Amino acid sequence: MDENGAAMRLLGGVEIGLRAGLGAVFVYSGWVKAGNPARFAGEIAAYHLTSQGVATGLALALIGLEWVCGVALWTRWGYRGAVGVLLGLMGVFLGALITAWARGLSLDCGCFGGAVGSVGANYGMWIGRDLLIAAGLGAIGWRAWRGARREGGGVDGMHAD
Amino acid sequence: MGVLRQIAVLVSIATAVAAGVGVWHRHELVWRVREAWAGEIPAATARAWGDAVVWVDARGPAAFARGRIEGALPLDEAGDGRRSGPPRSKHIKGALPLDDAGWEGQRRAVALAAGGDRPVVVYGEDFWDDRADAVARRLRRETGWGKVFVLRGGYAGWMKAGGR
Repeated sequence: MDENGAAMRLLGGVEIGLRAGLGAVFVYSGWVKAGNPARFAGEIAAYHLTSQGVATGLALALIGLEWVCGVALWTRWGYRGAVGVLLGLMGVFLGALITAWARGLSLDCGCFGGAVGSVGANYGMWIGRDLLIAAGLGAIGWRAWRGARREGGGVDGMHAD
Repeated sequence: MGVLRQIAVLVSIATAVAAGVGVWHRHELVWRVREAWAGEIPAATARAWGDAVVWVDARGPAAFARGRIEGALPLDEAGDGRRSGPPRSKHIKGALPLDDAGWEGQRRAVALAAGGDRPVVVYGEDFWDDRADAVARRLRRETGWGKVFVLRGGYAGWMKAGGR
């Protein structure tokens, strides 16, 4: 068996696993928040970075983005765009968590609508988890970008491959 | 260009989804700022004060009977009737009759415990429950005490932070 081919198949398998896992994380996260968007908006407002109105708008927007981008990871429809959006979101989440930590706020991260990890402020765990998710997104984004370059000049449609 | 186009399409679909969720939950969403009580403190601060705190439960008798912060005294303006969760825009303040006789009796008990010197921390059901704000404002106005505070996140936030 060609060793290079086996390695590529292994990488492909890892990528599929990452896409499925990360897609599930974002779809689940959006689903939980959609059950009580007002509470999620309250958790955003508790960061004291936005007004209540902006927090409510952000809550709805994040629910929509997490659902749509999570499904995009599963289906590969709009795949590279979804990875880009989600990486941007992770950057925003990390920034908000770090500033909240620096300001000594005691809050729920709101990451899963209070359903997971909601007992007290555990910034180290939340930041570590977000970094892991961002690393996973970075890995599949890098493979998609490399694939598009290899095909010569990028993909101009909604399908990444 | 391909990625930007993908992002534009995804954001458009996400906006439609967000609008759908917003319409579905339109009665619960809050777009205006809750009237913030300047004396709001986090659970960690109240915990650090330890036994010096006089806890005041503003949630009404039924919620008080179900569970409360250890040693809390009841002090509510209108008994039960205010729900927790985000306020609906047209049903916020003044919709319920005040029970002034009950208030006076409960306030005397709080005054006895506080002795004019201990910090008084009022809590409602959760972040959205503005009964605590109302009770704290009234308590400060009627007694002149400077050390009246509201527990941020209310009873739910206290329990999430470890309770007691």
